[in-house]
Amino acid sequence: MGERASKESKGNNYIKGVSNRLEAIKRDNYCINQKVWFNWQVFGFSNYGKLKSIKMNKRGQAAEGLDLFPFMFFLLIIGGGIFAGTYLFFGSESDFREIEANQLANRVEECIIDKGVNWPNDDGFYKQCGLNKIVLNEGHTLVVRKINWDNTKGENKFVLGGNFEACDFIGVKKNKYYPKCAKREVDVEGEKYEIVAGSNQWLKKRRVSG
Amino acid sequence: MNNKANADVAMNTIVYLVLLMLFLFGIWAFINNQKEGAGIWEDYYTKEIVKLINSAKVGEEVVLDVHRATEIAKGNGVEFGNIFSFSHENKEACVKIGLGMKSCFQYFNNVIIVEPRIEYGLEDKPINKLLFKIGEVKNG
Repeated sequence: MGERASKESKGNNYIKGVSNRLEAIKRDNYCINQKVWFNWQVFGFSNYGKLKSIKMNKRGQAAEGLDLFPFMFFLLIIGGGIFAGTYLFFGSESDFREIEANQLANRVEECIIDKGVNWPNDDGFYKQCGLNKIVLNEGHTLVVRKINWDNTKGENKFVLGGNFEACDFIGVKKNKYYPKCAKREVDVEGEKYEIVAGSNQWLKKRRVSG
Repeated sequence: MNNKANADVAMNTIVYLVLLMLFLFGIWAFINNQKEGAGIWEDYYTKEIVKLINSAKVGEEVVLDVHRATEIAKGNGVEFGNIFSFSHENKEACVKIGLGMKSCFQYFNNVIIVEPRIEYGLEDKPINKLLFKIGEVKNG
């Protein structure tokens, strides 16, 4: 009797164990199917094997993040294509640097002819010539220097910025990181002066306030 | 267990959707800004205005044909009062005829822009003009 009861109990436990395992498998499959459904509906490039391994192996969860890379890659390709197409169709920003450099050189030339070169300090120069110091300090270069009788470079009367040698480089003319320059020579009271003005100002995009 | 898995799935989906939305918004903003070549015309008008200001003298009045700019701005739903703006602090002339940001360029002439306004064209002369005066900076 006792032997029979023991056998029945063992059999029940076995059936219970099998049914629990079946439940667990059903539950797992449901989760996997849910994931496949979501990913397939939205992006369509998920893979069942990978998801299964995620459920099976915790270490595999890291692989889930890999889905992000193809997604970002596609976005990058599409976005890059649209940007490149628009850029090629409409062209890049117009280059205003040479015009601005010429305007600045003309302005300084007129100022020197009218008022001479005897300004007390740099601020005096800006005031005398009606130029804005803050603007010129951003992306502009300017030098007013005396030219000696033997055509060598003499004393600098005013210097803003540096690297004026770049103005004479032929190779950098198409390089947007170098300023475009304009040169003038002017005679004042029997002395000869050279003006070298450069501009490297580009359009700025600003948010609309208010 | 089930709830946790569902939450993970939902979280993943939300992350992807947010990224997708950001991307689409960026593309939309970029293309909208280029509508009717607004970006190019902004560039053109900004630099033309700055060229005029740089060569102008105090007391002069500047008149500029801006009809094309007003047409594009109208097409893009930009109010006429917002098309041209001048910043005395930054010495900038700004133009906005497309959606999104405005294009600005600095002028080195130490002047201020007085009474900028758009004069609308009449039937016999249907050209919209931008008018402004060149004023003197009071302090310095």
